[in-house]
Amino acid sequence: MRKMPLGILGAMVALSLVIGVSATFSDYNADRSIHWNITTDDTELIDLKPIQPYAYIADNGELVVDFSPNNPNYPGYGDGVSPASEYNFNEVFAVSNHLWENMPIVVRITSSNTHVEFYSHEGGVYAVDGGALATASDSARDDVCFVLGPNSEKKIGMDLSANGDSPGDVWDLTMTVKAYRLGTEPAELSNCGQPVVVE
Amino acid sequence: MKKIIIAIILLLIALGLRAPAISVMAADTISGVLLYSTSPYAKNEGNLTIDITENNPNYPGYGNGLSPGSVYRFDGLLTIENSNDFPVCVILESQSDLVKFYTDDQSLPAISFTLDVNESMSVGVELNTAELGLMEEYYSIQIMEGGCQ
Repeated sequence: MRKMPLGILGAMVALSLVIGVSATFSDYNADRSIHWNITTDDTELIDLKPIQPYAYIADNGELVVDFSPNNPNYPGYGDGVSPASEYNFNEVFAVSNHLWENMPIVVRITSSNTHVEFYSHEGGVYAVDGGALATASDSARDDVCFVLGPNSEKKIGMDLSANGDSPGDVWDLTMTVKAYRLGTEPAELSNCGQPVVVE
Repeated sequence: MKKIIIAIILLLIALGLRAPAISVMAADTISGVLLYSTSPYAKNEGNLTIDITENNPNYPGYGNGLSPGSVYRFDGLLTIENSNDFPVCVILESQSDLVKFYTDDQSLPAISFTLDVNESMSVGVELNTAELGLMEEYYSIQIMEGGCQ
């Protein structure tokens, strides 16, 4: 007999809870998930793909360009670049637009050191400052930008200037790559070869 | 309920014209608030899931994810629309250091905004990347009747 009132009480509590939830809109909380792969530089949405032995993908997945014996592709000779010289490599790495949305992007590549400058012998790469074409070693710049259409790629060359350096000097620099959906790029990237809009 | 279904169909048509790559639009309703995305990076898996891996049905065969040491900002990745007949306060809160939200230039771990009847808000999502591997992170959506305080 004692169990009965407890059972009824339990049912009443359950009932009031159900009514409580359905009758008034109160606080509601839900969780949603976001999944993504962290993948190597050469397989991601905006790829950086090495296209000759001086460039490679390191164990951490990042693109490294290395003109020294530390490069895993180092053949045992050719230990670097010589002082007071200038080297240019037409195709070191490629940037691809592998976004899923089929949208053009504006890409900016910036070197942390003026010893290393970028250009593209294919054309379409511009100096951020001034908007001049950077198509060869002479016109290479440490801060360049270009427009990249969906599913296309741009091969980037590098110009290395060892003027004023001594044997044994090591340059360690950072290359920063930024990309914007075409039309959302900052004002300083207005001369990157954007299509002219006729109104 | 009827209103919500119509909204989804219209969006599918608009989407079909603009982005043929997306087969199914990911949408989800939480307490009269519609959560949807017109981005191919979203999918329906019982509810709206952002999935930038080969497991997403929209995966085009390239662009397998995001690279290490990078920051990606996806403008308007989520849209949140109030289908209730009263205003609500929506609070989005990331449960991961790698996920932030933005409605203007500043991305934050948590944002809140008021939605009037039938009003919607487009929310950008910023993803930061760590070491190589598959990331599974979560965020919560809290909905309260009335405007935000």
